[in-house]
Amino acid sequence: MQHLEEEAQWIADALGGNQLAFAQLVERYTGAVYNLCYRMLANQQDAEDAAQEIFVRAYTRLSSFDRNRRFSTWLLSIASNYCIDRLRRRRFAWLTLDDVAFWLPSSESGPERSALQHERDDVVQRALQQLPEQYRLVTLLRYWYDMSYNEIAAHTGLTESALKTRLHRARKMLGELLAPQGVLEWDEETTS
Amino acid sequence: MGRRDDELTPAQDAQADQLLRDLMALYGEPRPAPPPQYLAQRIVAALPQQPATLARRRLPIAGTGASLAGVLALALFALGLWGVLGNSAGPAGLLGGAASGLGRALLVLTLAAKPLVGSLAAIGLPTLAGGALLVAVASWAWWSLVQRPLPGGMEVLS
Repeated sequence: MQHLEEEAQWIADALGGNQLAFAQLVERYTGAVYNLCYRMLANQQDAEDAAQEIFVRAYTRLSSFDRNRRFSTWLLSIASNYCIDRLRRRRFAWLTLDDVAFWLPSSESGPERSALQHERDDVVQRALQQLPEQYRLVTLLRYWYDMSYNEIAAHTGLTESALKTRLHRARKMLGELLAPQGVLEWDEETTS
Repeated sequence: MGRRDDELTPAQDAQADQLLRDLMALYGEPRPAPPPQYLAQRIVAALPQQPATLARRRLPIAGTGASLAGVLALALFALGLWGVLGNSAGPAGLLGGAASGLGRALLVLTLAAKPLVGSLAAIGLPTLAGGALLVAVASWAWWSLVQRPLPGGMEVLS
């Protein structure tokens, strides 16, 4: 409760012109917003840019924030809508030289961990990218943000029935992509 | 045949939920992707300089601009209608008529538009309406295709 009262004070101060108060909210929620953006957009640079834009939007719309709601929920709804829009705009994005350079093998040495561990860490992220964006969003809200069905339904504007259908299909797709045989192969390789 | 997805019992739903959690746990997920350390600072630096309340108040001014543009477009359309359907030299007369460059340019545009409008009128209202309906349906179909998720969750990755 103290946490919420503290946020309410920061919001009131930010509306009163204290930008440092809003900076406290940025500090608190950068991780949550970045995580959503990264999981949705699958690119660190895009996720950083998106997180910045989301907070700027929250700042410019702060006077429209309903103080009966949780700030985190409101912020994540801005983030969700932004990421969905951005993914839709990507459909029309032409391939750029930066994209080609990304695919080419890099001569720079990567972080110091085994290639196999790195591959394992990315498995779930790559599987998430196989989901349609609306399925990916509800999956993230359910499993990464522990939202209840009611909360996700309110967040996305879906009925609970439509949400359950969407989530169930997402689970099936993810389950097939993360099938145990993948794990078994990894275990065999590490123990051989 | 199998159940529809939304006909799962709460117990089945909870079981499916837990199964996926267990599967993701094999990969150490779900866990948050850590943001770069500089990100919060970068975001704060990017915030608008004006206070939050003023930043919000700028939007109605942008809305006013859009309204003005709409009124201007309507006025131009009305002028065009007057020239094409009524007095061709009327709109040009407002800008000095044939004596001024702007008046002459407007007169040329009006006279060029007249046969085009005449051709459209000659096509007939049912054909025009049918053509407009076709364009509307095609636009709706295109928009629906664009909104639909790609098969297999394919996305263009940047």
